Amino acid sequence: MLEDYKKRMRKLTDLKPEILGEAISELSRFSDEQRNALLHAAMALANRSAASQLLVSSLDVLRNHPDAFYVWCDVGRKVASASAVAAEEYFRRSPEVLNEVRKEELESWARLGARIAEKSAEAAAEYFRSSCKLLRTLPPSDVIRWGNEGYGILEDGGLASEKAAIEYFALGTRKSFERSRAEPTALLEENARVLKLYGEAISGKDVDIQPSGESFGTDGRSIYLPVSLNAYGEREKNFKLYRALTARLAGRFAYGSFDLDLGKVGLEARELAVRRKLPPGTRGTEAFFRTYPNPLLAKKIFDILDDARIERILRREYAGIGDDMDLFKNALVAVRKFEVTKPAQAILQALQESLLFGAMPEGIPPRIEEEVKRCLLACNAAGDRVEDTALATDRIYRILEGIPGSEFEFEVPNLPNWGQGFAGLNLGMKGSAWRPSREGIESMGTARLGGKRPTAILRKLLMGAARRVQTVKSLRPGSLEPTELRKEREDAFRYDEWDCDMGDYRRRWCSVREVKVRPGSARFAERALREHSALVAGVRREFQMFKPERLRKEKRQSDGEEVDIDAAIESLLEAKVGNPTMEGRVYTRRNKVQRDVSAAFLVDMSGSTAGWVMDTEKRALLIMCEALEAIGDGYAIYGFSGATRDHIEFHIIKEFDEEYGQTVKGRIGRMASLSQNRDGAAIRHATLKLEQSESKTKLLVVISDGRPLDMVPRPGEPLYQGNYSVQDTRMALKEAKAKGVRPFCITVDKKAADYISTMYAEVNYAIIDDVSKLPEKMPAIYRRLTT
Amino acid sequence: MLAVHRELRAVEYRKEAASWKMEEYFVREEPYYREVGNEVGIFEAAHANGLPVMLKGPTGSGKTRFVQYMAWRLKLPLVTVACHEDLTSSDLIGRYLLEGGETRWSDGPLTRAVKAGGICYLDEIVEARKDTTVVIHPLTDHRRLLPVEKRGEVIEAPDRFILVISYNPGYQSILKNLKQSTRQRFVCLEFDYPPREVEAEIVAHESGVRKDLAEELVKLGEKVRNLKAKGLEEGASTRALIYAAKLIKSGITPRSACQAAISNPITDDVEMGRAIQSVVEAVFP
Repeated sequence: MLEDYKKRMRKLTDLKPEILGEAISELSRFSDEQRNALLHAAMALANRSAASQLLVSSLDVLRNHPDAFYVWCDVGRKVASASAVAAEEYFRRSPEVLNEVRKEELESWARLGARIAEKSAEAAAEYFRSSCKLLRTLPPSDVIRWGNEGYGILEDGGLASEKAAIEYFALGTRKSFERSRAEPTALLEENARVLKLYGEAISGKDVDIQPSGESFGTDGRSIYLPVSLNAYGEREKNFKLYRALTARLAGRFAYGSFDLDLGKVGLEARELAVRRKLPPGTRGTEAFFRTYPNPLLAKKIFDILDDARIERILRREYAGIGDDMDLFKNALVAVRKFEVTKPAQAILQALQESLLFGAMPEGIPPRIEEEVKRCLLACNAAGDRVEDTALATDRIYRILEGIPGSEFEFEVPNLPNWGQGFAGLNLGMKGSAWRPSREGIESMGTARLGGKRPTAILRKLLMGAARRVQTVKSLRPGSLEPTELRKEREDAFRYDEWDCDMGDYRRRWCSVREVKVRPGSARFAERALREHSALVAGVRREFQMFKPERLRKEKRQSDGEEVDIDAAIESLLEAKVGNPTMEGRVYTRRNKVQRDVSAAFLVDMSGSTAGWVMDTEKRALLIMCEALEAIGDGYAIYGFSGATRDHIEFHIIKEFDEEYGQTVKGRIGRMASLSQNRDGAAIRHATLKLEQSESKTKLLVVISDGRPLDMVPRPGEPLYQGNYSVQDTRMALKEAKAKGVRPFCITVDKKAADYISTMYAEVNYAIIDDVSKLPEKMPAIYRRLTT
Repeated sequence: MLAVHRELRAVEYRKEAASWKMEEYFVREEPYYREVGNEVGIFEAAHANGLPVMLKGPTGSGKTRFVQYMAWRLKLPLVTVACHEDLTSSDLIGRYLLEGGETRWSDGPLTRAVKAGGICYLDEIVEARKDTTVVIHPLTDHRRLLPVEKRGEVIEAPDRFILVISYNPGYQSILKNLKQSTRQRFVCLEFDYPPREVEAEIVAHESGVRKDLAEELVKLGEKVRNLKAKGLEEGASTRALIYAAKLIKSGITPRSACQAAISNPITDDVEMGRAIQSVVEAVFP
């Protein structure tokens, strides 16, 4: 079917765009939104072969990276509008690139390509071709820097420079790459772990560092930092700039910016709570903002003041942090233009600059200056608690309320964008990852406050995550290669299913097909293992100690190959003294000790695991692999998903006899959330696989995130959900036990308690309510099970 | 650097080497020990009742210092055995030696401590082989007996004798855990890094630096301890803070001193080291 589709698409290239569009609309597997995006991109392509490449690749992208689909289309269109030749190359290479990079990195990569294409189509095509190769071995940020270098050659202008640039990109070699490496840019990728640890040390809390296009901020859970910084001419200074950002943001975790509790402190704060009609006991800063008619204004004021508060505390607590803080300030580009038509915004801006730089900005109209002074008075009185910031926020809000221009537009209703902007800082940053785009430059003068800001990327990122959830839902299982799978396959395995209402098995009810997962890039695995390097080292060491040495030299044996010298001397002396206790145990013997365990890991790959649940499961699996390699147990990794009883997919990530290496790592990296989960059948198939192993201990570890659930194929058949699915799963586990397999279930569903005791009644299980602990807990559980 | 060097050479050497028989080693000068809870009282009560004591806590939290202090306070000889994985029961109890064709029995450190009626301190007991933990069993219950199997003897411990073991639960793997049957024979005192104020006092006293500098070091210690279990096996110990303070006292800059005494020793993980050094740079200008 896939081949057929591709063939059809190739034919389409001879047709007119209208017909092309119609053809796409026929394809029910795409949602309307996706069809639109595709169509849009296709229309932008005057070049037919580029259009065909787009359609060929779209399948790949939609199947393997649904969350990146829109970005992929969107940037594709941008490239296409610059050059069709470049676009064709982009569409050809991007599915592979997506295996290597994050969505936002894809965007950076493609946008750079589009910029190059504006200067030279040929150079852009070479850029896409070569960078795809480079990405296999180098981090994306390095590759992009390499691209930027090449773009620099183009920018010199003239024919000679185009030739040089094409050559530069075509080389795509280490040599051209090395040239760019000397740059002083600091990369988030290289420093993320140091910054995370630094933030954790400062705040005493868990800190999660996330890349964002060019903005920085925190939503109380993660700290968002630009993917690269180049504000200074030394890499070390740029690293310190990262450090300064991390300290400011981690400081918000440490000093309670997200835990406002007006009821807790002083009379004045309690009065404020009453005046704002906050229900008693309300905690959290966001609830406070919501009490204002214009929450966004309140939040903006709060962010500005709170940032100043954090800096004040940091400088006092840490005598040495001043240098970093100054680096941060010097990297900011002050806004010189004040929008007099929007006085409230101008006041806020001037207030922010005054707080940051310790002086009123120059060229500010006297009327505004006066108001800023009033505001400054309000903040000078503020103390170190977050509640003090809230009080000052209220005072300034009341000052600004009456002034025109305070009506900030809501960018997203209901303020879900806590993460936007850095503490309300709307100042530009020198040398952050990207030079501002053309639109950016145009809008910069007017839109620094209130309008669209560079943080848009971050918002997109968040919305993309939300959309991904929807996409996963709308993608019908198996819909991507439909008929191919739907056909009854001869190599499918048939299993009975327990029908608790009937009280009997439905014979040969389920059809399970093994799917050999194509290996992807090992980059995910390598990154994850690097991030968890300490845990991996610890687990490996621990498991190694459990490993019985093949031939252990046992001392003081009554029989053996060699004489135990120590024991012999001792026994000689004893004989002399006349008190023999050794009784001739003076030999060493090599004893064969063997561990005989086979373990199969069965992972639920249903849609509900999308996002970081799956991500964490994959990390946990990688760490398990490392541990199991250390101990030497045989193991296999399987995943399962599917839709309807006819199409249960049993994904083979690693078979028992397969080596753990790049291929397996790549497969783990490729594991993704798919559709439904019919646990019973998958457990039965995994049991069959384990039965073929000859180990004494056969262990089946099932990792799932909740209730088994599958859709109905034909009317009249029982739904695989609720009690039915629970009972079938229970039965499947019971069968496994009867066959000499020891099942153990790990579930990461917090609300699992109600049905889980029924489902896992026959076996042992563990509920892990904090998914992030899975990588640590899994090896511990395994060890307990097998020793 | 040169100036520092000169200053260091001007140091007066106060102590010369001295040697005692193992069981005749007494702590002669009062060691500095700052009581955090009521550990001194409990130890004395345990000693008076013939109960063995287990000291549990991370490295550099004052376990060994406490034992020294108690030895001084109770005026008992102190026999310390650093346990390691090749330590056998013969190493503790004693063995026959060959001397010019003749055999001679030689008491092990435990036997000597029992006979002398002092403190036997088995440091990091879990590191020793399993059979060693078993030989101490009869010594740790009401019998207070040390069987010397090789000589067919049993030694009854005098009232003055007390067995002390130390145990660091932090970095021990499950494999090397103490068995319940062993651990429940001991009175257990938990050691941890002392509260901020107390720790600063200790650092200042031990190193001779000013109180405010000691406080900064303790603050650094706290921040580094936030990284425990996030890649660090153990937090920065009080001992490490004292070392850093001593280096600072000798004229090394705080940043270099902390690097040498804290960031470098605590981890081989380059990124972790860099993160810790970043905290150092935040605390010390």
